[in-house]
Amino acid sequence: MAAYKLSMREELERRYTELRRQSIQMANEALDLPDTRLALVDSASYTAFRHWENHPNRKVDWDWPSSWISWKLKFPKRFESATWAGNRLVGFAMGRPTYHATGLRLDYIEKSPEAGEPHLDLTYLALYAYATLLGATHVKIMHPINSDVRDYYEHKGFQYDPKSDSCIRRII
Amino acid sequence: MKDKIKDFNTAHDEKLKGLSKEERAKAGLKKLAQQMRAEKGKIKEPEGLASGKSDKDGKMIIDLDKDHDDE
Repeated sequence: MAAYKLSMREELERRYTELRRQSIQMANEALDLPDTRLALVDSASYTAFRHWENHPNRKVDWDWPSSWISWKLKFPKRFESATWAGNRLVGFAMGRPTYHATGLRLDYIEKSPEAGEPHLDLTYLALYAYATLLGATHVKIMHPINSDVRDYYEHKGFQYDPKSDSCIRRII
Repeated sequence: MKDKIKDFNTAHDEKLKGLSKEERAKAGLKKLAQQMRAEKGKIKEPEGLASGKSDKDGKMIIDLDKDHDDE
């Protein structure tokens, strides 16, 4: 039984990694910006993160590399994205589908305090692509850290839902 | 003018519904990228943009609860 569960998990991981790669590729093709790109999270992003991990202007104290290990293990259907400008890491994002995959959650997103590039716009391309490939009807960004961030999401077409403390945008 | 934009968006969304997931994603992405270019610099992204839940020590919480907020 344990072996069966393990092989099921591996199969899910393989299948959804392919979808994640496809969504990142599609987003990059649409983006068409020199020197700026989206990518799956890898060891290069962890290394780049260490450059701004202790920046005094960070608003949160999240250790992305260690949390990522648990996230990857628990959620084979996860969404993940790293935004790059040249060899600088602009930011991270990670999420997961709702139970029946009619929605895609963005559980965590953070932009480097040193980055000037728009992290949300770029991440949203990958998020939209992955959500569409999953057949989801909406995306939602969980727990904006303050009212400035929440207002910004609303400017970008999201609607705040106080019940779930998330900002929701329909994609169909 | 606003109504015209709304009509265009509704028509665009209707058109997308008839496509495969891949085609829909590509068409939607094309439109989003165009919007992004058109709106570049109009609204500044907040400093230190971040979203997500932290525990009392400010660390990430890996929320294992299933999200049943489906449609």
